[in-house]
Amino acid sequence: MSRHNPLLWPKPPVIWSYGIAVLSVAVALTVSRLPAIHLQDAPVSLFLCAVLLSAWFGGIGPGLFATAVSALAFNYYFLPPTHSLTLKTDEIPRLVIFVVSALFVGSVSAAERSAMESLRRARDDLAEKLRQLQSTNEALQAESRERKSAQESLRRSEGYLADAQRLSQTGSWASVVGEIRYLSEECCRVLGFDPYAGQPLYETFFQRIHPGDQAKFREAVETAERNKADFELEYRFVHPRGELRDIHVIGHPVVSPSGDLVEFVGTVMDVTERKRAEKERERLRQAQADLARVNRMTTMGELTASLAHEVNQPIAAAVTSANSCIRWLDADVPNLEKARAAAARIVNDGTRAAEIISRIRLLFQKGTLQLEVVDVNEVIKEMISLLRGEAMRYAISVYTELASDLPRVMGDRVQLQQVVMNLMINSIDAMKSADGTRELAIKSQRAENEHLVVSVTDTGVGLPPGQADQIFNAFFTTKPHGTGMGLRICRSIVESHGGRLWAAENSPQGASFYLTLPAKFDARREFEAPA
Amino acid sequence: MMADDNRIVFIIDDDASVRASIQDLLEATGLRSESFGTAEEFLRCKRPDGPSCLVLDVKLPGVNGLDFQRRLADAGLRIPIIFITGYGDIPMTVKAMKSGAVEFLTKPFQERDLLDAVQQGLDRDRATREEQANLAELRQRYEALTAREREVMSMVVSGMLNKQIAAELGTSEVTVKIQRGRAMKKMKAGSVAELVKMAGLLDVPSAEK
Repeated sequence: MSRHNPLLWPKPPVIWSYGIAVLSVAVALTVSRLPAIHLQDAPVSLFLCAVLLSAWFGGIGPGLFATAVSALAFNYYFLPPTHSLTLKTDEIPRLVIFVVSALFVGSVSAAERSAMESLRRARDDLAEKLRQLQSTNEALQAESRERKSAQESLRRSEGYLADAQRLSQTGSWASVVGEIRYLSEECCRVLGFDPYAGQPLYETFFQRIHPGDQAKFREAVETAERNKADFELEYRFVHPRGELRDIHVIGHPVVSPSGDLVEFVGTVMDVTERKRAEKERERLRQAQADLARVNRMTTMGELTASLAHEVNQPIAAAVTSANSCIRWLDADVPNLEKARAAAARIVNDGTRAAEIISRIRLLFQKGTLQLEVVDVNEVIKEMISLLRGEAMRYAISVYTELASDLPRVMGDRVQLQQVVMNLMINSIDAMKSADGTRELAIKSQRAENEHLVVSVTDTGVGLPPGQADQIFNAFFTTKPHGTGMGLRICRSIVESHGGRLWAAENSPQGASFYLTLPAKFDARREFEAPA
Repeated sequence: MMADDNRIVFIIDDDASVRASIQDLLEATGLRSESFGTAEEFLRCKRPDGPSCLVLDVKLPGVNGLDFQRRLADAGLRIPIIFITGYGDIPMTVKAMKSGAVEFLTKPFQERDLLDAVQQGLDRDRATREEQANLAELRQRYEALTAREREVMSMVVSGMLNKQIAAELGTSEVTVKIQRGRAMKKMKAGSVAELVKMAGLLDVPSAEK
């Protein structure tokens, strides 16, 4: 920032300084010896000028050097005897005065220069300081701006966090046992504390936990603290106005590098609505299961009714005809003609009954199948979701192992659902009164010859001993209210789909039912084939 | 077996074989019967007068047996009904019996049960018919009474003495006595008590005292 001053250019290198000294003395000598301007008698001022110049530019050294050269030149050229370095005695004072003057001028010039130099340096330093100060100031301002924007973004992100917490109804907290360190606004809201009334005491918090859940809560927290482990539990919490809420809490330990527990941080969530919805869903599932059961029974009932009506018609006719036949024969005068006619009707009715039964069987086997491409895994999943409530009611765990590469089958979805459902209900029924583990496992897998196999395995009472083959017979039942038609119908359905259904004893307990179905079985071909 | 037996059993069942077997059984026990495949046929036919009953299948084409029972009742045809069904449930039975059915039999039924029910139905119908015939004759007799005799009769059955009747009608006690005697004779009533009973059957309004 220094202003440009021709006299204050920076000090040239030393060699240049001495060069300037020689040059200036030479110039002074030349000028003073020019005959045209008649300066032969007064060269001193010119030499002094040369010394001054040299000292100014080069400092003390070049100044002394210029003084010495000037003194020599002065002595040689201007003091008698001229052109000789010898000196007359009376000329010595002149030379001395010259040298003293030159030294004086030189030193003053050098001192002046040096003062100016230091002044300049001081000013440069000052400018430098100022610049540093300014840049520091700028840096400070930038930092302040940055801090401001950081604060702004922190505030915003806190806002987002609060929004997110409010929207998800999830509060966050930090605590050690016996002391609450932090509760987020939403956390306060979830727990029913006033967010602006400061952090509540741990005791206050603990007292609000439903008395029935306090022990559970304390144990979970203490265990987590002892093991420095995560914890998660649900407890009921009493809001100030007496409202009971279900709270789900998750805690995570913060451990110092030395391995000590610093605190727990975590979240709380009000799951009252969710639990209510779950209960509602459970009720719905139950209702569905009940409905399915009723539906199944109704179908069976209707089937039995129409079956009975159809078959009873010719049987009734035959029985009645047999009665009148006896009467014709028993009469005082037996009427053989009438008796024969009655017997002929009996034959017809008996044949008709048999025909009806075979027609019904035909109906069962190859009835009105609604053929479509069916994903058996899907059918299994649907039935599980329908019967999960029923299984839960009897504390039965349901496992599935469904092959992802299961081939699809061509079949009647509703009938296949009926089969899977029937097998599952049988399994559930078999486990209702069984001791020990209650597990229902349903597996599907690809089998040989483009078939798939589904197994339904339970840990129930197992098959009736010695009657494993008979369970598929019509009207065979071990249940107090069973129709004895379920497995019979199941087998008919599976066989009408070109598959097989069989049962096997399970070790150590329970039964397994297996059904195979051909992949994309073409049932139409089967219909056309002669019976 | 009486020659003048005019009893008849009607059978409605859509199953020809059932119809034929029941008809044959009834014939073997000496009962006349007529059978129909549908309810409409039964309604269309000209039924002979005489004690009768109806053996009715619950499940008829086009119409439910229970509904048909109500239709008959609505039309004033009070014929005793024996229901037969291939598959009956309790609510159905209760409904039929409440509506006045004689019996509700499930096929295949016992011969005895059917014959007993038919007999019961015929007896019930005969009784009803006799009652109705009696009532018709009583009405005829009542129609034969003069206006004054009817007046006297209603006063007698309401318990008034001849003297009171005479005062009420403004005639002599002797005249009332003659009219009363005539009414009793025309109604073929042996006593006042019998006349009261007849008035009850005929729904004769009793005079106000």
